[in-house]
Amino acid sequence: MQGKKINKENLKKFFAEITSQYTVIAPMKKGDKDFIYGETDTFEDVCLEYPTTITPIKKYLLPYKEKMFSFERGKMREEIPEEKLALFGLHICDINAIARLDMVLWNDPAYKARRENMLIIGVSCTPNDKCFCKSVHANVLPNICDVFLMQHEKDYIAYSHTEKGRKLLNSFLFEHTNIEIKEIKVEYNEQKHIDIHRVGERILKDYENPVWAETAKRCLGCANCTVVCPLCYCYDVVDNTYVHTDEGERVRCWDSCLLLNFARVAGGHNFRKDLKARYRNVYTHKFRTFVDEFGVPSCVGCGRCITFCPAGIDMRETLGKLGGA
Amino acid sequence: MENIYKPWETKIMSIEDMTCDTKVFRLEAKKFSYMPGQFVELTIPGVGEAPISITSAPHEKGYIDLCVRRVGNVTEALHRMKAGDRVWIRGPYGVGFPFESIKGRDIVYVAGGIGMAPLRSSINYVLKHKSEFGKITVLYGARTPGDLLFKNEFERWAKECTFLVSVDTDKNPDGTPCGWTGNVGVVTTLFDKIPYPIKDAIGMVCGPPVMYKFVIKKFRDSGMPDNAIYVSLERHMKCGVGKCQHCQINNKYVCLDGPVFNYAEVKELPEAI
Repeated sequence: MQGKKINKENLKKFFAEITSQYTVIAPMKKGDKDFIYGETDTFEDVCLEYPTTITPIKKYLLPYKEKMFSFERGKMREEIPEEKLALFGLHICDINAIARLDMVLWNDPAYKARRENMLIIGVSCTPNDKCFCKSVHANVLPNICDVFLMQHEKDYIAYSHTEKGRKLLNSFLFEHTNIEIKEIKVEYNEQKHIDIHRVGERILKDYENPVWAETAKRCLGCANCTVVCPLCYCYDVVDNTYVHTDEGERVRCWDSCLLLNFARVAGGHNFRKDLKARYRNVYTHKFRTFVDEFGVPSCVGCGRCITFCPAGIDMRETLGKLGGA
Repeated sequence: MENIYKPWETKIMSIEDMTCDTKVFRLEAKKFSYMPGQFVELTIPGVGEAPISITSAPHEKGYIDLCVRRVGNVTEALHRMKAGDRVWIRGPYGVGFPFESIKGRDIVYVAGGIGMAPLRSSINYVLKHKSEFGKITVLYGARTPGDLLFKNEFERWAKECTFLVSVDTDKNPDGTPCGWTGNVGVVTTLFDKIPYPIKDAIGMVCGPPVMYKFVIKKFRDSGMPDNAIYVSLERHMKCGVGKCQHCQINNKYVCLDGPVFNYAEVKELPEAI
């Protein structure tokens, strides 16, 4: 891939060009030390050097709450989103998260509509002590990235994997360079490397490993980890009626297999009543079920679940005890 | 693109009372083909959507029957509806009973409570194609005589196969006898009454979660191999298409890989049974 150079001044102009066509979602500061993905049309709000955001990018692909259907006097109307989003400044792990969500949700009408209208602009990152994207094979930029900005001294070198992106790079804002790159990936020494293949092989056989009970004792079952996870996509579906009319809506919202009633059926039987079983389910799904279905784990090693666990549970430690160390 | 979650409108043709909390709803379903053991997602707009197994058999054309117990929001609302009312369905979903691979074999059905709903589809299918199968036995257990479903078919089933019924109790809630003269005891007590060896038969089970391991033990004690046993499992399939994760049992989806599973495939699967 041939790189093109863009300086900070021109990047601001490029950003403005994008805001004229898209609603832009970008990393920005929240409070003193935290970062989130949020909507902005101001380049000064955007922070391209950030550790990781609290909010996962899935929020803009599979919103926390979204209307699937409207009901009106006995008619059902499907709701398909029309928004055009540009995700500006994503790290490689989050772009991999989108690539993996694509595998699950490409035939989901709302998801697909959003994705087809979407522009993805990535940016290079500096891994921290919680990152383990290499372990879960999420350190290589997937080919869904339209433009990738790699920091180069004071400027950025831009690459593109898509037709949409190559058109953007034709803009006069980008200068020709002789810099070429074969593959864009993050290289670093992981603090803890996990043998994910070994975990997947053993996880169903190792069902009574003491790590489940031990960790479940500390786990609060709050589902914080699954909320911040860019890949936890499970959802609940609820119908609402508007009190004053005969209209209503079917809404899909985020759910979590860590919550008590997730595997409850009508009549009250709960197939995963114990927190131990629910905690284990997060891992069996991420490192086995998803691998069986799609060939990769549903984890990109972003470290959010580690950073934001109120009980201080480190997924890497659990995986280590499951044979991944 | 076809919206995978979009149900289509149909109407309730008739409703039949079964027990105090269970009714059979006949829904218009033209050009709708399915196999016994499969389910549909039923929508009542504004109330919700619920997975319901199909209790009619594929040779009954033009409609499907859903046998529904009143236990949740959707089923509660459905029970308040009347013939002519409109509901929405999508499906059929899941994998049903494997009839192609068990041609010529004896079959032993074990149904507990509302577990009769999916099994009835299979039983009536097999009885319709009787020449293609061996001897058929149906063991059916319910809590009380008042909880027995499809009583109007008992006579026919008794004529066409070995049909044995048992109830957990023959007493009314106040302890007085309720006039039941048949077998009393859990469904597994009926195994001793099957008049022929069942070790070469196919077993098919559906019932409350607690029932499976006892029934499977009986099958295995009879000499039946694990891969001759089929179980229909209950979970809350919210999407029906393998996405929402509510019916996931480790690396299996009840909505895609089931609800009917070969026991040999799930016996090592934690949490399945």
